[in-house]
Amino acid sequence: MGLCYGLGPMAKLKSSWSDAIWRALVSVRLTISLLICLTAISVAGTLIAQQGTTQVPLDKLYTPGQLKFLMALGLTDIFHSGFFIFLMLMLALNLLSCSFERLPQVWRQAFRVPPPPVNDPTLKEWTVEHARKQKFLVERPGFSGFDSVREAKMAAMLFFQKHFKHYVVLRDREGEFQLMVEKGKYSRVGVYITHLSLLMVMFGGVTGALFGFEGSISIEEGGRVSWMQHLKGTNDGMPLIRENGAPVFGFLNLGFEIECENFTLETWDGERPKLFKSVLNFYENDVLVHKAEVAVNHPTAYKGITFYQASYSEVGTGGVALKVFRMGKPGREPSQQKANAKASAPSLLKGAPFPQVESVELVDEVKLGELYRVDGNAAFKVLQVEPNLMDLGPAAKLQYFANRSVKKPTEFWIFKNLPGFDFAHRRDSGLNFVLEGVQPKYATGLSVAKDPGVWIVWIGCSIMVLALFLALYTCHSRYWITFTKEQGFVVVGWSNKLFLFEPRFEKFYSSFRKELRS
Amino acid sequence: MTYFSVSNALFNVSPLFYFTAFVLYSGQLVSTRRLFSAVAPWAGRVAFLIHTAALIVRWMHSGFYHPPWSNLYESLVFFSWGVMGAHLLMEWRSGLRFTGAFASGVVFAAMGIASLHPNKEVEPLVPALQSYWILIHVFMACIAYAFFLVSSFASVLYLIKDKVKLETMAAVASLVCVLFLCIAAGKGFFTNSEILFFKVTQMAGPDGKLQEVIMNFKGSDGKPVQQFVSVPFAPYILWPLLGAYFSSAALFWGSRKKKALEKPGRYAFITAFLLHLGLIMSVVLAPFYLTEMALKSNPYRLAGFAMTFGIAAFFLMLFVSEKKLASRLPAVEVLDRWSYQGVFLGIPFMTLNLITGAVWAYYAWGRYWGWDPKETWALITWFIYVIYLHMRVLGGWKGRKTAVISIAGFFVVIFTYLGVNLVISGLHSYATG
Repeated sequence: MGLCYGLGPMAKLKSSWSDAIWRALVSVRLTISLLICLTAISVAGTLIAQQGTTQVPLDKLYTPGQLKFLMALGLTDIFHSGFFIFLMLMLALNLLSCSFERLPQVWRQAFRVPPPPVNDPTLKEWTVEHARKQKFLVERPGFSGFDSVREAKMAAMLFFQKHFKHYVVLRDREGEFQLMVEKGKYSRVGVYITHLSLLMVMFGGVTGALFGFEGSISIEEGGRVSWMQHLKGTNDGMPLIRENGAPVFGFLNLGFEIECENFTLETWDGERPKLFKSVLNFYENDVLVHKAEVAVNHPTAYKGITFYQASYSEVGTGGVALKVFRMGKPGREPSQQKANAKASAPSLLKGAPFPQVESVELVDEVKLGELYRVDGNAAFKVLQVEPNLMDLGPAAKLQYFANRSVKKPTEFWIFKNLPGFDFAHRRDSGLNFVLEGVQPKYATGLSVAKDPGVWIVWIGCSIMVLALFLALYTCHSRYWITFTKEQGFVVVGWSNKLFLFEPRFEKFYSSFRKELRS
Repeated sequence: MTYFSVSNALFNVSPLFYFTAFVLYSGQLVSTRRLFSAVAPWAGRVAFLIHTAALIVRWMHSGFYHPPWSNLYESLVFFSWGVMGAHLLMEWRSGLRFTGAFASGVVFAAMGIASLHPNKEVEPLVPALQSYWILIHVFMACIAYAFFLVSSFASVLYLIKDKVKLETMAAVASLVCVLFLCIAAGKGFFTNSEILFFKVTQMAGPDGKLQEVIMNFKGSDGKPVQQFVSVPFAPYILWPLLGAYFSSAALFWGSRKKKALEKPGRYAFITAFLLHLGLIMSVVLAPFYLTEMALKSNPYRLAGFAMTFGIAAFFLMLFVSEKKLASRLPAVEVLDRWSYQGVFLGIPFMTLNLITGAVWAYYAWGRYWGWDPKETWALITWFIYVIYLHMRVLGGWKGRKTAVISIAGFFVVIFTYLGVNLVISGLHSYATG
């Protein structure tokens, strides 16, 4: 792993200025400068509120003058601005050319050129510091009392055969021999695979940005939608809605219809959401083609477009849980009920129970605006529903017709939390309307995205993780064992990562020494 | 005895051991006495074991459903666990105990801040967090940050051993204190001269019993309201405090040329330290003198105040015993390599942190990258260490230069982890409390 400087095989043919450009392009200085610039811009991008990620609208955060200034400089959308993209492209180019420059050399060094023999006479001169500088480690176990070179050679080869699959005899002469074993060649390409996988991730990102889209859909329960709000570009002839000159969203025709069959909201304790999910039906030409349940973290995909449960909103009120009872006539009550009835005179706030002797449930679950017949000729209609009327909780406004001929129906409110509120009406009609709750009507909020580049990104990421471990935690290393009559054994080690190699070399050396003795 | 109470008891006990470890490890920095070097690691290990047990029991309490790292309290506890774990791992591998003082000190402070957090309940998970990715994503982040922090501790020791002028370091540290105090004090301090903390009030619950309603109770319109309250005299301490740090920075910087400025610089620094102590006490003791409401501090702010205080205390210690410490430390090469190892071990996990975060974001929000502030700061952290690695391997940077990047990395990591949530709002859950 040397510097990225230097001439590549291509550069030799070029004139001096293009040569200079090439050298600049493959320099580590460029990489570092680009990384520093990208860091600085990213910092700016988090300190200045960005379009799309901020919850507060930009025009509330800044004065119009400030906003104009920031927009003119492209600072409100830094991560999609020209200079950011330019820097990313430069980084990609730098990575590519560095790999192009260095990979062939490294490949040749690691795989093509046979490993060099280590020259013994120089070893004698080497101090440990010198060896360190050259990324060599040297140990001298000494002669260890072998009678002949042949015997020593046999012992050494036995050791290599036992521990390594492949080893090379580099020198075998009168009075001296040298064996070598090499490990972890592939560690050398780890760096390049890491860089190329990073390029792959960037390529996937570009693919997604060019051929994908992002947007959102809001569908009411029971509703059908075939258009989505789109975050960029004009399309399908629909106008792009702009705010402060910047596009907010356009519309995109999906080509199929989505129906929200139902939406469920569960909470942990009445407020914090535990789960929200929607059942979606996908229709093409009114034919059901796909049905799915989406929840947060569990999206569904149809025709390459993925639908995510993102949010929900209450859009008015849906059903009303209302029960109507016919009350028994007070005169016909059994005695114990009578006593109860007296004790609990109509009290507004307590919501005292009215005598409901022999009460019969007449209607359950009503819809807004529909006429329901109860108790012979009488009928009623729910006119209006409020989830929280005057801070008194859910309420419904009813219209009551005592019989068909009534021209002027009575209208009154009933409250869920104040069951006695309509006591006057109850007394007259003998009907007890019990509001059990107002069910809000929900609209499910879906994020919609099509990202054809995402698989490239995932593959790139997976490769990157593996390659990173290969590049960082493995090392390319060589061990030489030289035997000369004068010096006995000399063990030399080399690696591209000395600090990883040192303990391994230590181990190799000690086991070699130990096994040589036995 | 429920799992929950056992876990809480363990969480309350472990800081005692961390404090013991901190004292012993610090003693071990300046003294050769056998007592310190022999007992300190054991205190650290015991604290770590109790801490681990507490985390596991807390996890068991939720039936292994709810990983113990999904709100701010849990996150503080979990990340400090990671820092101690990373230190102990590197201590075990290398036999070097010197970063222990920093690790146990940081963990002790973090546990202390966490213990002030009003809400220690195992909170139900919002839908976005109900994913297996929370396990792996947060775990990766924890490992990466922990290694980076240990690396920066070694880098500080490197600079001391390498005989970098104490005044230079103190000048830079004072400026860093000014910066982080400003971040911790927040915008309100500069606009209204108030340091705003979340308010805790006593409210009657639905069952009629008084209960503490924390931070985001709901207003009459059903929307969450954040009520703030300020510590009344904190601003009157903070302004002079900033001034003292600033002047000590200027004086120390000047003393590199003019020796005479050194002494006033030290006085300014000591003044700042005492004011800082006063500030911390005024915040910590607030519940005792603010009678009408129980005030619990915003952990983010408190973390900022405590971290800068720790830096100041460390320098105060250096003023007294720099020579002793330098003589106790191993060779510069050893410290340099140690610091490198932290970065080296951290980078793949930081990468995994980004990738797993991206995968999760893709399944939860429909995009793998959205330039959310937290995401962006994680990327910035990654950039910093990628620059470190390239300068080290290719640019031939070693020793002081890389140590400076590694120490800068410490502040970037802390900002990514805590500061982003304080300054910039984002999508990450423990931002809300």
